[in-house]
Amino acid sequence: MMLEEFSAWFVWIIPLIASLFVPVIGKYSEKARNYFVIAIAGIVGVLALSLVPSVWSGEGEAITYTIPWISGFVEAGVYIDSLSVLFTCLVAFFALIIAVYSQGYMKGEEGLTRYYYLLLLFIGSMIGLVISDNMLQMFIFWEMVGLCSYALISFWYKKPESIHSGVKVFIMTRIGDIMLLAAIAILFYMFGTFSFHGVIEGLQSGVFNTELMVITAFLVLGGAVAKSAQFPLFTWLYSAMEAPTSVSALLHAATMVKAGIYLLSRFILIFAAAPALIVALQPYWFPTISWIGVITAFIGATLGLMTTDIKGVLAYSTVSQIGFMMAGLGTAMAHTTDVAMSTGWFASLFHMVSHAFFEGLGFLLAGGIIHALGTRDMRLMGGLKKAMPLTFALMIIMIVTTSGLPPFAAFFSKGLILTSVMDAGSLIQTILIFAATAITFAYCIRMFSLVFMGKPSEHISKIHVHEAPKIMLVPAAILAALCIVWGIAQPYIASFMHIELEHTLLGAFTSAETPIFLLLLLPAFLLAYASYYKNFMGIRKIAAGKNPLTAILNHAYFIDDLYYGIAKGINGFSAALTRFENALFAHIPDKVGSDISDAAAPGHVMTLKKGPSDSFRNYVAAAVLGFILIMVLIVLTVGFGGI
Amino acid sequence: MDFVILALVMLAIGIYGLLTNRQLLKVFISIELIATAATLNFVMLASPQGLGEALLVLAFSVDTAVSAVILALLVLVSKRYGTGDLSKIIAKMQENAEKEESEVEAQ
Repeated sequence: MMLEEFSAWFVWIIPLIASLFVPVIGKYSEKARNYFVIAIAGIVGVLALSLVPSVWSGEGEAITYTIPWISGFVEAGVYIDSLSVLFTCLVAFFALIIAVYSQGYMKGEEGLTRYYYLLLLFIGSMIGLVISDNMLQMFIFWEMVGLCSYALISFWYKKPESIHSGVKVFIMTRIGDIMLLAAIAILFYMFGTFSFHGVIEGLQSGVFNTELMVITAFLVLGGAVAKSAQFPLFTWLYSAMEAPTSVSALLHAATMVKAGIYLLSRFILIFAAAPALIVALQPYWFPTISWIGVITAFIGATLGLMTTDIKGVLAYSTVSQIGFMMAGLGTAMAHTTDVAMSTGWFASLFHMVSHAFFEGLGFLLAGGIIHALGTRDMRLMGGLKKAMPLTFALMIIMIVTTSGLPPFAAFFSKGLILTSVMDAGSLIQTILIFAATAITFAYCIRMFSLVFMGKPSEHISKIHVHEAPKIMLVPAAILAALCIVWGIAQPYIASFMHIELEHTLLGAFTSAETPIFLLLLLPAFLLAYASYYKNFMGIRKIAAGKNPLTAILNHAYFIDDLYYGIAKGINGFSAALTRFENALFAHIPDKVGSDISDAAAPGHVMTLKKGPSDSFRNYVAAAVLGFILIMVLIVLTVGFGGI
Repeated sequence: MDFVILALVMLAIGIYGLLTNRQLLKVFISIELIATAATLNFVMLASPQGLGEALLVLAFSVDTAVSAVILALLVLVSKRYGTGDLSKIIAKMQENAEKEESEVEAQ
């Protein structure tokens, strides 16, 4: 067995198996359990890194290893190429960061064994999701990360809001899961295989139904939209903030929400096996992705301006940044059918990693602040500059990176996406995405000034605010360092991804979008500065008052209200049906499960002894009726042979 | 393809049951009916390849295990809240949460 084959299998099998040992070890010693989790995360990191050299030195060809799964029918496999290894390394790295950070953030919480069990289960399933060769296998992991997300959001199960959020997230992502399952079923029907390499071979042979493939592509997009919190299914990410902050950083900023980006970039790679298919997808599918992307980027950024929850700002920021990645993917293949020549495809993945660094950093710092203050409401913060100097310094790096100022990571990655959208997108798309970058800067400044600047609030003056412990600051500092370095690593990443990039590092400073971008930041900065330092024109008063704009922003564009309306309609329908049924069968007693204790009461036992009562006769009648109904159904469906 | 019709009928009955019932036990029965309809489809569609029997055994054993766990949970829930009615349970949950909140505030 070669080293990379060994690593590719065990990088996800080890955490899955190790997760089962967490409850056993946790029973004996909590300390041993914590070290065990960190050790497993470290092993996963080493295994993930060992995959890098062979992919880097290779020709960009994917390597697959398979073993029999369901005999003679389906094979399980791993698929090693630059895309899957990039994601594997990112997940493994973040797993280690969060495993260490949790030691500080989750200290003294109840139910930590459950927490670490779910963490390891998530790490294993997420890596399994990105490294699977088999779509069925991928789908199982896709559901497992959804399950882990649900369970971790509802981690504090005694709080009604967190239960409600968990259920909401589960249901909303489920819409996408069903679409993805349908897409997989269609692909299996067309090519008779679940494996990626099988589908690629089928596409290369040129024998496929183009219309059906376009429908499949739209179904895949639906899966990605729900999982990556894109318009119109983005509202779940804000609710997901009920989770512990460490979980938000790992699942809802760095890794799980990127599963949709992974899915789309993987399927673009697969579709590119047949250039004719890419040509067929260019008129509708790719523009749909870029429209969803720019709309989400804009909506997410505007919502980030209004929320008072510090994690809410980061959540909407995540929604907005993933919108940027979608826009990059949507404009990727506008002029070419070869992924290796595409700027947008690379830009989106490059931004995916830099977003993981700066958003993860933001969440880790927010976790420290929440830890110290015991609240997520930014109106209760303020003036933390003196009390938390290290957090303050790291937050400056996060703000600068998020807004895309040179020379930090997002300047290069976001710049590439802007170039791609300007090249291929329409004018409105370009305007929307530039507006989104400017608003990004504004909400960053707003969050920063509400939390760190100004006078300390009454809430703060009552408690003693302390700097976050070292075990929480060190992971954040590592992420901050990566925020600075990652952008400069662009040529190396491009060569790792086997992309022929036209844009050099220096080109990022001279290309057309940079001056526009920097010029747009100026008014955004002035507006934010004026409103949050000088209270200029009473912008804050307008924002606090009632007018159509604030109503729209406070209700997240009324999209949640729409969903609750649909749910209400179904409830009303269900109530009407119940009334109808009650009227129809008013004389048949409804005893099943309703009151078991009633049936066991002494009086009833007496009546049974005396002889069959009215209700007893009714039961028998109902049973006979049911039997006849089943017989009729069998005869109707299977024919008399069935009996 | 007759089994598809049977599965569809089972699915429809299950959805009707979910829509009209608030009793935990009935909700569970309805969900089981839907799950069985899906299993029936899978098993019958897989039978030409000879996989049907294997899938049937797997599906039944998994389903039994799942039912056992769910039933145990139902018993626990109805014991804790003293009723099996979903709307009553939700009302009681909210009541408890409000009580806890007011206790925290009192402290």
